[in-house]
Amino acid sequence: MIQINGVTKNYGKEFKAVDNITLEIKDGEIFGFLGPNGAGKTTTLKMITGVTTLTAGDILINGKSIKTDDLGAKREFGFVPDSPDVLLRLKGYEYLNFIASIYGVPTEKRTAKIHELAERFEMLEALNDRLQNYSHGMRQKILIIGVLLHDPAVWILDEPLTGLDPKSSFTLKEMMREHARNGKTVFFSTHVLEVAEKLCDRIAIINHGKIIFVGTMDELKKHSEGNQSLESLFLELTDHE
Amino acid sequence: MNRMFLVAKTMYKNSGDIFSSLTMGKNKGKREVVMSPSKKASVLLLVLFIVGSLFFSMYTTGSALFGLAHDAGVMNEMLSIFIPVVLLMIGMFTLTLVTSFFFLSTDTNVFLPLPIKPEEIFFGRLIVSSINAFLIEAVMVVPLLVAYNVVIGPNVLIIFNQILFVVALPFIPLSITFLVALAIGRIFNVAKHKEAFSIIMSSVAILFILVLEFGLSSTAVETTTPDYLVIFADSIRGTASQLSFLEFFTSIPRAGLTDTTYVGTLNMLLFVLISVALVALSIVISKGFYMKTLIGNEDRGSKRKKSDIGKELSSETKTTRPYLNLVRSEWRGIVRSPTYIFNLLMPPVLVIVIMSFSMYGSLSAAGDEGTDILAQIAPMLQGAFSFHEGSTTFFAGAAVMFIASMTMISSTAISREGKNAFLIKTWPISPVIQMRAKLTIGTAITAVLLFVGFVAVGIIAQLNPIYMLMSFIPLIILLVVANYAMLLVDAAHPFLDWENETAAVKQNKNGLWGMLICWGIGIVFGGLGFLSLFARINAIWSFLIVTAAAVALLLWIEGSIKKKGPAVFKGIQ
Repeated sequence: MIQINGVTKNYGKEFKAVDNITLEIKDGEIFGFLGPNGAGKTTTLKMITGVTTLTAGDILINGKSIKTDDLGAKREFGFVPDSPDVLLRLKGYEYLNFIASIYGVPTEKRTAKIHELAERFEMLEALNDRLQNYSHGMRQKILIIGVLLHDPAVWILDEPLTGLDPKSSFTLKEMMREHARNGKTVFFSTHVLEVAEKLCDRIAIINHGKIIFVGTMDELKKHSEGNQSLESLFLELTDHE
Repeated sequence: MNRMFLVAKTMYKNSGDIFSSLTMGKNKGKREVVMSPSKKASVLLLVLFIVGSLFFSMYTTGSALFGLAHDAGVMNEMLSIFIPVVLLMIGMFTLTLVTSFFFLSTDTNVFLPLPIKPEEIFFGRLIVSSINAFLIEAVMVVPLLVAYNVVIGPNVLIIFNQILFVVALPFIPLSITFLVALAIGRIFNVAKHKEAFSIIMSSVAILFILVLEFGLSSTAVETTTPDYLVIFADSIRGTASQLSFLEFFTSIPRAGLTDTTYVGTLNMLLFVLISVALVALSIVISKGFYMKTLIGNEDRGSKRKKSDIGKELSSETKTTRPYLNLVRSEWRGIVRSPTYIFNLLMPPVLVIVIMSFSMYGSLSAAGDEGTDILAQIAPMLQGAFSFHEGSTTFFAGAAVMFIASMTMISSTAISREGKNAFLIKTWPISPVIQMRAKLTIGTAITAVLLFVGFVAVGIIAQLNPIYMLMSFIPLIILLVVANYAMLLVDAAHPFLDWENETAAVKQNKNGLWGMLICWGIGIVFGGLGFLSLFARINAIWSFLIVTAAAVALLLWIEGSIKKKGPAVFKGIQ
């Protein structure tokens, strides 16, 4: 579970990137985080993952505060950034072992798990290559495998489907559903409304640093006038704020 | 022609031109802005100070050498050495410039699909490389020529000839290194084996350095005369005669630098012509091969290496401790990047190799005198490195700070993570462990350097092993402190928004700040050394003082990192 309580992030005295937002992402839920460019999505994700400090409020991940127990909170989630250009000089298996060590995955478990996940994402052949030789999609997959490796209760994914081939995209979506079915949490940002519509139990829309909608897709559609598409509804909401 | 300059201008801007990188800063929103006038002035003053120091040191070296050559009547021989040496010096740098601009530039893929002629790309690269070569020449060759002028008092024609010399000079090593690189590039796939290509080119550059160093240090001559001018003249004549096989070439620019008549100018124009001819040759050959080297190679496929992943994995997973994995990942990041090998690992290694070559060259050239020199040095060292002399530990502390400043491994450790450095903040590892892992490589490399120096002094002077051990411990702790200081500078203001690894280290001001901090601490230790000369304290006391100071500093640094927690990475956003 992720609890975001009255969180604000100021840059300088004037600019509020995130303005007093409160959200609760429950266990067993796939939660989509939507918003136009510059709305505050990335800043929010950075605050949840401990990359950026909070100006006000607090964020709890499975009850652990990112402010007061940052290491405890960090052990609860796995994070995939939007740009997968990470530790490019390492080989696939070296990267995965590195991540497994950082998150304390037992030795006996990690080899089998790496095999299993690499096979599932069709990456087994590529594990002996360096990440710098991978395509964007392959880098994305190795990062996702890294997250799945330590099996965190909370998945935080920034634009996770960008660059993935259809099969991997399908696999990841299936895994997200499976993770939620197991009573765990998936929180991800996306620009693709159709993905949010098909995948998410609930969504939040952020604009100018404020949450302008939280609820299910059906609840969002109730805002529409007649047969309005999801896209035009999203544009209407974000433009009018 | 305009298009050619447009291409060159774009390439230059994209390569991160030095002038704008010095005057641009970032605001809180991480947008690039022009620095405030006061900040700009202070940065420019600092750069001016460093460039001025380099210029001055080259000038004083040149002044001493040309002054002696003039007095000893060996100016012609001196110029016969000067010309190949400056060519070799500039050649060392042009090797790196040619490798990175012509062959490994990341913007090649941007220019290839555009309707630009191959020679326009070649010219663009040549102009960008030349600008950089001229900058190097301005601090390395021009001060030597100024010193030469002060000694000989030139006429207008000689100064005109020197201008021609300075303008034409870089194009000779640039063209030669381009042709060599092109030949290597034709042998194997540059696009696919960029790292191997870079390592080969770096090795050639190192070979240049060694040839230069060994050649210059091994020309001492045996002599019984106490007249230093005679010794100097003999030594210069010896070196010049070793280089006589280049006389067919060096005689041309040498005439331009010495002959005050039109004959000198004609010779210098011939030198310019050689330079132009080499560039022309490069253009002709580049038309046929340069683009093929960049494009054609992509087509040659290679089989993916088959390997036993299970075996690799089980061997990899033997190391499970986060700290060790962090260090291992840090090490792999450095040794798998030719840029980092060349810029971070090579400087301290080269110091050892060059010093060893230089010592070996000098001692072997001196023959039996070499053994005598060592025999004379040993008692001096024994006196300095003894329990009775306390100041040596402080001076060694200053030397340690200088050694620490030789590599930018720690002062760029965070910056090298690049745009995704923020990910380290998401790992459930305490900042202290992460910081320790980050400084381990820098400390270890400089510790090896210190150890080699220590053992060398110990063997020459046959020092007391207990003394050596006692002085080594505080110095190692000091090395950790120095690396921590450099790392903290980088953590506070990391340079993450770089385009390529060369920019990550070369355009990183933290490297400079880290070096200045080490020098600052080194000056303090030097000052303490002088004070202790007057205070006449023995080595036991100085060991205790330095150890206590180093441990206190270390505890204070680690304590503040623990207290700050994740805020220690505040600069990473």
